[in-house]
Amino acid sequence: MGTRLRKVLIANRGEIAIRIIRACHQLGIATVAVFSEPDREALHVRAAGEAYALGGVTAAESYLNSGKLLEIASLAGADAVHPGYGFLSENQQFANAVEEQGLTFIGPRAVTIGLMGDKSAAKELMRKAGVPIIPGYSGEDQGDQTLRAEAEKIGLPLLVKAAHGGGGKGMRVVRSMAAFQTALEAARRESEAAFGSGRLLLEKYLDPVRHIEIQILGDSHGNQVHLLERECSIQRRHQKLLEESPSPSVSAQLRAALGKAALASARAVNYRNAGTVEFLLDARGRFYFLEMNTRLQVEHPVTEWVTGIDLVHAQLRIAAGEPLAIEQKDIAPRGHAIEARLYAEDPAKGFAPQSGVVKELHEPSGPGVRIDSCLYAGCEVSMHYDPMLAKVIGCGATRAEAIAKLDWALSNMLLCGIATNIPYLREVLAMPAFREGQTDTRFLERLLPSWEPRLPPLEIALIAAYHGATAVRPHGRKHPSVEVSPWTTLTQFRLGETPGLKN
Amino acid sequence: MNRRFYYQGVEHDVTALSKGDHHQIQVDGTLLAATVQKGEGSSIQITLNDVVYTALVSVEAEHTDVCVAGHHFRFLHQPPQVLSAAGGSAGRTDGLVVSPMTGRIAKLSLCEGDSVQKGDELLIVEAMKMEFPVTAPLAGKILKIHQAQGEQVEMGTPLVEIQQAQNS
Repeated sequence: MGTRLRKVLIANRGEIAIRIIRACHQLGIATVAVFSEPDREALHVRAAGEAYALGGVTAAESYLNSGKLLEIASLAGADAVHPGYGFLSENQQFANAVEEQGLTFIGPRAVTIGLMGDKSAAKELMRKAGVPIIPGYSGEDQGDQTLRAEAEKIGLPLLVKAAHGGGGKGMRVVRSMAAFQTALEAARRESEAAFGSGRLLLEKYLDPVRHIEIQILGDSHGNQVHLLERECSIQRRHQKLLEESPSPSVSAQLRAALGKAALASARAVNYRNAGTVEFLLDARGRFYFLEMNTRLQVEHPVTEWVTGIDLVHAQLRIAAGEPLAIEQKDIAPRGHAIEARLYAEDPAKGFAPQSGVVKELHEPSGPGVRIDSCLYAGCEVSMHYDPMLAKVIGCGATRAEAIAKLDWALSNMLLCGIATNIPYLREVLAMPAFREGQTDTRFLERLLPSWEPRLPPLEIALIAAYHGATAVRPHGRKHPSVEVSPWTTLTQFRLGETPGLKN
Repeated sequence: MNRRFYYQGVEHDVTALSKGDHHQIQVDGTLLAATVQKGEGSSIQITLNDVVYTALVSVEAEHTDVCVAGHHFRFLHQPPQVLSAAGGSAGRTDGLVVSPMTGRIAKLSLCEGDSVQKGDELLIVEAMKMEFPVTAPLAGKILKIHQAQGEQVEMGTPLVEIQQAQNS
């Protein structure tokens, strides 16, 4: 069926690159990793069959360098490219260039990416397809005066956001017209830095509102299914923190209506591969199309638990031309999963991003605990990339069980050298309102407006420090994992075929 | 044997009174009956009053990092150097704002001589694709700005000096 994939280049870094590399190996597909200069020692480089240097330090110089990526794909003899999320995953030109070089792009058709990446065009298309949309302005005229006039028409509160963005970057809430100009300039600056375009759109800001999204899968034969919802309402500064499936606020009836709308969106663009249709759900149970993400989502693991479908495997099979192996009637929620995003941010210092070396690491494991991570003892966290270090996922038969597993996993996820947001995540998990599922996108703003970490007893930390400082270490080495690791002396390049490759 | 650690400028003294797993440990003069055991991987388990804590420790030349229940503690081995206000100003250090992170100065929001209220944005540090606003810890006048736009700063680098307003 179709063209079998033999070797995939993963145009990404971090936990998602590792996730994709493992899925490829599980299906007998060889892998090619790429890396920037700061990522020379990164885990994804070690996980792949082969690895090639992109050169450069910043994202723009490395993981966004499409010319270099294509050159490496050709040099390594890859027949497909997986873009992961972020970087070039939603770049129409890149998807086009991959296909023009005769390679398979593991994702939707380039034209779909272009269409959905233009948030204004996407909204218009969805309106025509009968999917409800949020009132707003998405015109081409980006003059300050036009935007101000449109803002006044829409009314307050108002959301200014990057037309070509995502992930909360280049986004500002405006509650008074006096603050409009400042918000406009900040959003433009962030948007230009992060996405290379300062184009903005304005939207009515709905409040309170829940963020509900529907996972979709489509094959190249015109079949589409949806894989139920995820709720991602727990956000800080528009950055998702906790994501779960199913949503505690979605009834079977609402799920069916959301699924129907998501499939209408998918069919409007004859969607191929994995994608996500995001909706806002208001207090009265009405929902609005927000945007379609034409890629694998960060939070895909919760859907994998609830549906039993490996989404990266599905992506690879679809890319190879296989038809979907499942029908809509076979998909029903099974249990509950919650994902926590672990960020290199110090909650005790106003969540300032932290960079440095993870000197020691302990990752928990056990039934119902999944960790998607790029960490190892001795790894460096660079200031040049996203601060997300790992995803910790708790899964169980019920929501309460998933919360218990996740909290245990977070309390046993230990990193030395870099402060993380784990204490904050645990605090949210412990809140009665969260446990009761009373979530909305301003949950943290409302219920945790200011927060001071509740530290475990200082004596415990002091006893640990004393124990560490006085413990006798084998061979008198301080950090065997860091200082004499064979990895620091081994070459990064493995030329030729991977041993496990089957033709 | 006794060790001194400095946490957020405060000295702490830890003394072990017995050997083996069952320590009689004295922390800042208080005797605690804690059990310390090897845990999974390179972690250690500390039991105090029947509560079990899993911890990870990393010892460096100048500091010891401890992670317990997701919290990260950095204990210095020497008393911290008091940051003297650069530029030889009146010796006040309470208005010295240091960078909370490693990054790049994306924007200076104010000029030397400007008046600020507590909470006003002083400048924006950018790292990991995010803009992080640094705000005034107190009301006063900007005495000195130590960094220019576009400059790289480390965690702890002095950024701005504020002379506290007389009436606050």
